Order: sequence, then structure tokens, then C-alpha cells
Amino acid sequence: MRAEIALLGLAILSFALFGCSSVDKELGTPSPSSKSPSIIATKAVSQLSMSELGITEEDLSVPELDIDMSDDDFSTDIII
Amino acid sequence: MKQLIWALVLMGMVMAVGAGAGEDVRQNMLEARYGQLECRAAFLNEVMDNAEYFNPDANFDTEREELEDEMSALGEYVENGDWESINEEITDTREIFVNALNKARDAHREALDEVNDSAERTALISEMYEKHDVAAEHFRECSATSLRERIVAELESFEGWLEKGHETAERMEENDYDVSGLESILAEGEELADSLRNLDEDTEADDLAELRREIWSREFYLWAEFHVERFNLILDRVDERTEGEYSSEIEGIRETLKSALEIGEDEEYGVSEAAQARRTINTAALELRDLLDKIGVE
Repeated sequence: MRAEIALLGLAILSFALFGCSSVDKELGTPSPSSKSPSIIATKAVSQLSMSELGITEEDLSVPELDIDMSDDDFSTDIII
Repeated sequence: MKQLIWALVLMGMVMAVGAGAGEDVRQNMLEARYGQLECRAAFLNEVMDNAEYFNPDANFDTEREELEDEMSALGEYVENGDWESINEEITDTREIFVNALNKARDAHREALDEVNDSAERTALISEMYEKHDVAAEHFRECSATSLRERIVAELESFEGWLEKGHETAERMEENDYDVSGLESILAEGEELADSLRNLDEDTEADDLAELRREIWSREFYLWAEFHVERFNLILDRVDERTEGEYSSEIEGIRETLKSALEIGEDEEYGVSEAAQARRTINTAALELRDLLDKIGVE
């Protein structure tokens, strides 16, 4: 009985350890491990990079607008 | 190693030329704008000459000196590519123009007041308007030429943002973004650019000015629409990759972006509306930056 319990404990421990390494290896792809889904999602999100989003720092900026509409009305009328 | 160094040097040179080309476009726009102001100064000088012709007692030395100083200052700012100073100085110039025109009008009226005979007054008024019309015609011709030059300069800037827009869309497409919305906006931008490229040579200054204003108003809106669409695409990707965990923050940023396209009552933006749209889109960009920091994106 004690041997069975020890074996069971060892199996659980091995299973838990195996689960950690599978998530480490497969980013963003939760493995059927003992980790809860929210922890898996958080770990996947924290792996996100700009290149994974397909953007650069420049994409987060807004270029200047060359605004020069100084077509202030200039009237040539002169009422004599 | 040597090859790497040369590649970096070449890249630096290309970037410097690219930046220089952008500055050239702005400089051309400034010079064209100055050209328009020169037309106004020439018109004003002619009107003052006319006033002194009809009223020898009138003296415009002060106004001529002010105008000359003003144009000289503006010319220096143009040479230095100083947009801000030019914009500030334009306001002072406008005041000088208005004051000088008003004084010229008063000098004409004083000359008329000296004539009591009705027939002579009628003849004098007719002569005054005739000379004034000549000055106005000179101004219109000068203005049409300078406005065309200004449109050519602005077209370069217009084409620059379209080109950059296409590069951005291409790059995003390579990263599996659906850029059909971006391309549609750019296509309309290209049509507007075409209408500027194909202006009728006989179009008069007033019509040119109106056409230019219409096209720029629409272009400013398209510019805003393009960047709103671009940021929304990025938000879609972030939302997808974070599996909806930040939907609330993303929705907030979308609302900011949406408001950038709802300034005013139509889909054409004047200068102040365009500036406000840019500020709003920039706010959304900063909110997105904060969100990415929160998520831990590097």
C-alpha cells in the first residue's frame, strides 16, 4: 500500500514536471498539463513581441501633417 | 566585417537622402507660398501708386517700408525653412495689407471729394476703377501662376504620403494584415492627386484656389481615415493574440480613434479639424503604446 501511494505520488510529480516543460516548449499552445488555463494564457501573452504582432515602433507613431492651407482670403476689391 | 560597415554607411546615406528629399518638398511648398505673398505685395504697391496718382497729397512711404520689411523678414524665414515663424508673420502681414488698402481707398475718396462737378466725378470714378481693375488683373495673373506652383509643390507632399501609405500597406500585408481598407483609402487619394496633376491650364486663380481647397479638405480626411484604419488593424491583431483579455482597453482605444473621424459635420477636414484629428489619433497611439507595455510586448 505504501509502495502504491509512493508510486502514485511519483507519478503525479512526474506529470506536473512534464506539464511545465511542455508549456515552456510550445508557446501559446497550452498542453494538457496541470497548469490552469489562465496561467497558460498569461504566459502566452507575455511572450508577445512587436515582431509577432507584425509591427515596428514606427507603426505606433503618427506622422506629422504638412498643413499649409494658408489660403486666407485676399480680396482685391476696393470700394471707392 | 568591411561589407557590414559599408552596408551601414550606405543605409545611412540613403536615410539622409530620404530625409533631405522630405525637407526639399517642404521647402518647395514654402517658396511657392512666398510666391503668392509676392503677388499680393505687388498688387498693394500698384494700388498705393494709383492712390498717389489720384491724390498727390497722399503718402504711402511708411506703408511701403513696412511692406518691404515684412516681405524681407518672410523671405528670410523661407530661406531658413522656418514654418512656425512664417505662420506667425503672415498674421502681421495681413494687417499691413488691410491697413494699406484701407488708406488707399480713403485717399481715392479724398480725391473724389475735391471734385464737385457731377460729370467729372463720374469720369474720375470710372478712371479710378479702370486703373484698379488693371492692378487686380495683374494680381490675378500673378496669383494663378504662383498658385499653380504652390499646387505642384503640395502635390509632391501629397504623393509623398500616398507613397508612404502604400509602403505601410505592403509591409502590413506581408505580416498577414488585411489591408483592403487601407488600399481603398489610398486609391481615392490617388484619384485626388490625379485631379491636381491634370488641371486645366486655363483655370483661373479663384477657381484654382477653390479646387485646391476642396481637394485638400478631402485629402486631410483620407489621411485621418488611413491612420485610424491602420491602428484598428493593429488592435484587431492584439485582441486576437491576447484572446480577448484586454478587450475593454482595446475598445476604449477604438472609441478614441472613431472620434478622430467625427470632427465636424462631413468627411472633409479644414486645417483646424485636420490638426485636431491628428492630435486625437496620436492620443490613441499613446494609449496603444501603454496597452502594449501593460501586456509586456517588447
